[in-house]
Amino acid sequence: MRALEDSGFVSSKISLDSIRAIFLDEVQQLLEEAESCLLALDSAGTSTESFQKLFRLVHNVKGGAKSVGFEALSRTAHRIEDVLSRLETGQITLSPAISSLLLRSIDVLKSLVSGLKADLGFTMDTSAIEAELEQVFHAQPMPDSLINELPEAKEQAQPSVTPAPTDATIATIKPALKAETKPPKPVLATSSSANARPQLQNDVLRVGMEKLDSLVNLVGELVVNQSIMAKHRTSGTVASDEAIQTLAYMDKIIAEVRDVSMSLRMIPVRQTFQRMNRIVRDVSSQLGKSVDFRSFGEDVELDKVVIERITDPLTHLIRNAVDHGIESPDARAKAGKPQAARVVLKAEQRDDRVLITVSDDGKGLDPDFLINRAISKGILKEGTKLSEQDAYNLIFRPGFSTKEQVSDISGRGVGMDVVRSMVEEMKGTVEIRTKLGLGTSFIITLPLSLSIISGMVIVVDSRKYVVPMSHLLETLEYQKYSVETLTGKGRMINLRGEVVPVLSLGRMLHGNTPPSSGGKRTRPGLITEYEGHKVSFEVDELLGQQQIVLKKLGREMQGLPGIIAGAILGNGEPGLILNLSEFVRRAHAA
Amino acid sequence: MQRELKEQKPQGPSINDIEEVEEQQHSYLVFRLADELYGAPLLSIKEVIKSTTIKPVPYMTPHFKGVINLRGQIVGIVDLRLKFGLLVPKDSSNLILVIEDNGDSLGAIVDNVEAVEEFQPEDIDNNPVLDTKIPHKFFLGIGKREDGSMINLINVSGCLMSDELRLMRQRS
Repeated sequence: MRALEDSGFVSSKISLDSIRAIFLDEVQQLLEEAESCLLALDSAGTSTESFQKLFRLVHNVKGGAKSVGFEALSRTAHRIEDVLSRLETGQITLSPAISSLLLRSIDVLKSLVSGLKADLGFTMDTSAIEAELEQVFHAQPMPDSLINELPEAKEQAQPSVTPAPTDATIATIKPALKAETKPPKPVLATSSSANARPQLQNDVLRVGMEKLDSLVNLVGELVVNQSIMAKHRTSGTVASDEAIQTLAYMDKIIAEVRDVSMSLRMIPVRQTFQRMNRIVRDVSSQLGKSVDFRSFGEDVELDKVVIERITDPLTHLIRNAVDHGIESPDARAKAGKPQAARVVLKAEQRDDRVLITVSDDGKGLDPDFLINRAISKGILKEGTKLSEQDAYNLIFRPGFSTKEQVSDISGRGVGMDVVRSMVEEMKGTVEIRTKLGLGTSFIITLPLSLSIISGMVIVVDSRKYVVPMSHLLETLEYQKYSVETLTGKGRMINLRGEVVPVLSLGRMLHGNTPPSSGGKRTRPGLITEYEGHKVSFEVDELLGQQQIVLKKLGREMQGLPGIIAGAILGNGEPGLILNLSEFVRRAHAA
Repeated sequence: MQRELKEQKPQGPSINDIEEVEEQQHSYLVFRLADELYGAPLLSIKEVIKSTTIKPVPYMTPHFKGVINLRGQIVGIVDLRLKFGLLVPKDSSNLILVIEDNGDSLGAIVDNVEAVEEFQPEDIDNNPVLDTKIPHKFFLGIGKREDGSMINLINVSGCLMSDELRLMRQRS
């Protein structure tokens, strides 16, 4: 490096920084792969192939780090490599303890990398984890009975810490462990990196070549057809059959360009699901519960930003499932359930949305218990009676979780109400299905794309708004129903046997009283579902379904009740996107 | 060594850019609100466009007129005349000053843009003006023009960006 500077290359410092930035992005990829390799080894059993792959990944991290001058990164990777080589040759066997150590080492590397990404001068003390790795490298396997005897290991909020010493070296191990029980450094302060804020993979994304090639080809086609249209323009034949045909063709090309460019931002949920796998593993071992984690639909793709934003809510749901949903091994035995509890994470694509389900076969929710708790928290009046489903939905009310529930594991101050608002911010919904004694499922519905959605354009008081199709169950004509008014409950209709309230969007948005319900004009309505119940909204007109381009609203318009984003309508007009769930909540609260 | 590497910015303004910016620091865009003239620092104004249809947005203060589509971006529009308590002439074709600050954009409706004029510090009188709806914080002084007339110089950008434009409704 010094040579470069002295030689007078003015740009040498700059290129080193950009090389380092590229390296950091790539190494993040490698570390993610390494982690999934490790998790796979954990559950699927070991094979020389998987060790080799893992070794190769860590080796690349080591080599790359060294060449761009990240010493701590390189050293730690080297230690991991050493342990891996022992595992490969069979000199050490992969015990849960070693597996945990390796996972924690990857965590350290990840933290180091994200620190470096934010600041190239970032330093972190990796001596503790390096010492542990060295111990394992130099020692022989330790019998399990001895692992349990080391008390310091249990005191920390970490899965079994032990490296693998012999009887003779226990004395040297204990001081090393004591060193770890000191106030942990930020890296090791939490039981897994999954506890820390997931790093936003910020502005770098891996994209398949075929998608890019496809885009390039399509744009090429557009250019050709545009020059054909330009010729028509100059020769005044814009209305000719040929020109019309060319325009129709361009429509098709543009639709494909739209689809391909939207798909560029889509990545499979696999990585996020694997992170959840890790969380289940860590939390369950922390609590002494045995959990069998299954995931399905890892190939389902979601917009990159949605994936980043869904991680927190999912983490909370998964932790909740293991912490509160799943019973202790004793309770399960008493209930005649298999010792290993089941936690299932599933992603499915349906039309223009994706369903993500978190289920457990734990103890489920008790509606009476929930009602009593809500009463004691002042959320419900004494003596209120609720249907089972309404009782289950109580958990989404703000203030419902108590301190006992919001433990360090599922907590961080995130309650179910926050989970729901995070999901709704992404224009999604979350529902709960549960049965006492059998288990609980949470179903999160998300739109496929954050940038273009299918929306219904409506008119309220001569103003246009958009309602995402994913929020709409159906539309109706109030003409066909008789609207009854019940004192204290407002207006209702009987929709195929179900009592559905009628709310006025005009009144809620603009404060206008709804027009009298007489007259021959059609009175259209929207039906949405909220917490398992249907609700209808009166509007002035339904203009039809459109592809709507979502746009951010300026800072000055953030937080307006019920308005979640801006939009550009088909004709270029700006518009606003409504969150009907918010309006239902306001109506209930009023 | 690492510290050094950090501090060096690979790309900076060229010498020419810096000079131009310094010149423009004293330039003000002179615009008309009702029958009064005002000046705003030229550098704070991104562009001036003709007024187009503004879509109203609920739950905002009366002087927030709504939003427009500016080349694919949704930009909120404030009526400066209303904000400063001036008479709004009916149906006048007017202009919008687009202000950008840190990635956020806002538009301000004005009646007309007259000119770009320079006011050196010595041409600006800092005596506080009483009886005006312009917040003191954003009042830059009174500029003395060549023809002897005076105009209010305002930090329009700061004024708009710090304004609370939402009607704080009680969320039950």
